[in-house]
Amino acid sequence: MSDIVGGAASAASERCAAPSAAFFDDFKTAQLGLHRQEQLAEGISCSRPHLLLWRAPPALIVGRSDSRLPHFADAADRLVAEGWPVLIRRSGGSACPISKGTLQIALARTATTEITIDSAYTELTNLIRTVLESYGLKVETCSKSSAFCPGRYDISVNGRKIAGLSQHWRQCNGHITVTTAATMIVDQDPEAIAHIVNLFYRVAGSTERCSASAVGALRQALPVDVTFDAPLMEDACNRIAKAARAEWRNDRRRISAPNPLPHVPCHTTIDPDHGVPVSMARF
Amino acid sequence: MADIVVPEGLWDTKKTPEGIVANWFYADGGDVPEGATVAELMVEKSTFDIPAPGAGRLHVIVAKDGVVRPGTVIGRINRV
Repeated sequence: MSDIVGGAASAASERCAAPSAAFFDDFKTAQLGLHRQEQLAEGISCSRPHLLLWRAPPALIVGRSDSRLPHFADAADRLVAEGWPVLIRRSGGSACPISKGTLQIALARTATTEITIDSAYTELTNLIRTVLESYGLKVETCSKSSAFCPGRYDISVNGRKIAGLSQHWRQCNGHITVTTAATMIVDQDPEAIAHIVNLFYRVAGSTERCSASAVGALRQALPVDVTFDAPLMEDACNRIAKAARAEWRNDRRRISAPNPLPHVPCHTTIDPDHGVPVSMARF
Repeated sequence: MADIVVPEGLWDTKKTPEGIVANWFYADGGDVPEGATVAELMVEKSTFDIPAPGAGRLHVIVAKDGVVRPGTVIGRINRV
């Protein structure tokens, strides 16, 4: 991450160091990636957003309400045995599987007075829609109640959910910040997604279920004649960077996104007491 | 004394009339430092950390899972 000079949003802060946008592809665990995402707002001190793209080994990321299910600990142990450690996130929503076949997209910004829950969701939704439409796909934004983690800003193609969003608002360095995060299914089998979500809820003691037919993947949705010069995940990241530059080029709240996005080896170390997977620490 | 208030205009109540208090991070009657995250709201899939507006003793007005709207006073910090 580039350095951000501290200070309130002002004309002077528009000259602060450009925020970084990078694709972290080397997280050894999803816990590291989630920690990085949840710290994204820490470096913000002016009105420019930060964009983080990352992917990690499999994990099931759940909301706090999921952690209060009657047999949550049993479900967490079972999922660890299946190779899907359970992590609790700070943003809202329910269980969301991530893996090397999904792309995590997080956009963090200071919440000036015109920023609301809906405007922040719309900002990231529009970015993802632009990318999907660049592949020639017809995109819908509406709740897919039978998919995992349903919400009003679910992004679907051909009636199947390809991306879902959640948000976390917090105060950092004297500013109110909002981090809007999305999971986009690029190359993950929807059946596997539904299986893990349903296994978790069944063991945890909830009637929540995910229908595989309500879940899609970018790979499956692509028209047969679409071509790209890089592996699909990398191509998707570069299209996101391009869309972000175009979106904010004439906006004072700009994001600086290199073209193409650099692969950033992850050297992050984490506080072992922060965000420890449930399978390792009992809550 | 300082009120802990759900910020006005945080969400469009025409689309989502209400949110809930998802968590209190300090017990009712407990001492809270100024600026500490004292509660968490949830509106659909958005969580919102509520900081303590001052240091003092927490008085919970809206309990966990209670319904809130922008402008709702969910608690109070009483100076000790």
